[in-house]
Amino acid sequence: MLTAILALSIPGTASAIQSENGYRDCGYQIAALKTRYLYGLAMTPPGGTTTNHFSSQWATKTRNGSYRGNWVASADYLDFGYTGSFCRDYG
Amino acid sequence: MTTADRHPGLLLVAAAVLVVAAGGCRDDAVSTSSTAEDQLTAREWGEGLKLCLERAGVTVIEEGAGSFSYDPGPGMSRQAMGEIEAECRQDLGPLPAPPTDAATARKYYVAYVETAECLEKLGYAVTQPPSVEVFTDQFAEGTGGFWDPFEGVYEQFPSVEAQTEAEQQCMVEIEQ
Repeated sequence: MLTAILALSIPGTASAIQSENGYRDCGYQIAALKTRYLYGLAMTPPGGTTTNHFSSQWATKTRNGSYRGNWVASADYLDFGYTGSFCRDYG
Repeated sequence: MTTADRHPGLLLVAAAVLVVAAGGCRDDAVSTSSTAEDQLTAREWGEGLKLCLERAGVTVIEEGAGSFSYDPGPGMSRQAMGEIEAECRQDLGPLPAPPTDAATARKYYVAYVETAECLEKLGYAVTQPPSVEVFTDQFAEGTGGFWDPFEGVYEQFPSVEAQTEAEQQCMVEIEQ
């Protein structure tokens, strides 16, 4: 089983959005996690509750939330390189 | 001890196949690349997992198109749910490999182009789709790294409400 890990890191007040090797840094506190996955997906925001999902075809899942810290996602098949996660600040 | 007691997974798999067959959902176009007769399709594998989780008391929320979410049932810890899921997975056997065939790729492509057109009508700038040939090649890699009409669009949503509206209006269910 292929398992991939995606972390969304929100360090301090940096403003740039960077994506490298599955890690994306968001420069603000409010963020959401979006990922494309196949089969089992677990999404855990920093200090939050893990949610579990299953899809029998490639699907995207977005989880909104106001969190500061590292998001972690794992799935049987997870793509974070092409569509990736995203960062957002609604102010 | 009955056969069912000794091999609950076998019954789950059989039940999954029956459920799928009864619904007329089996579609070779979305099957995996495996051609073995006894290899479950992705849809069947998912149905088997869902049945197994439900039978063990896990709360399952159906989301359509072969997708569902699940949470610990009443009084159940997340650790306990994890152990249940692990047992269910073991009973069901290996996951089917991701689909890589051109027919399935085309279904995704058609749905995604429709989604992109919808997003444009709502005023969002979308990345232009690659040719169907390029998309098919991307899809065939089996890693999920193919064009996504929502790429770059999420950053444009002015609010969560706008995001939800766009998702509801523009996400097209991919035929299985």
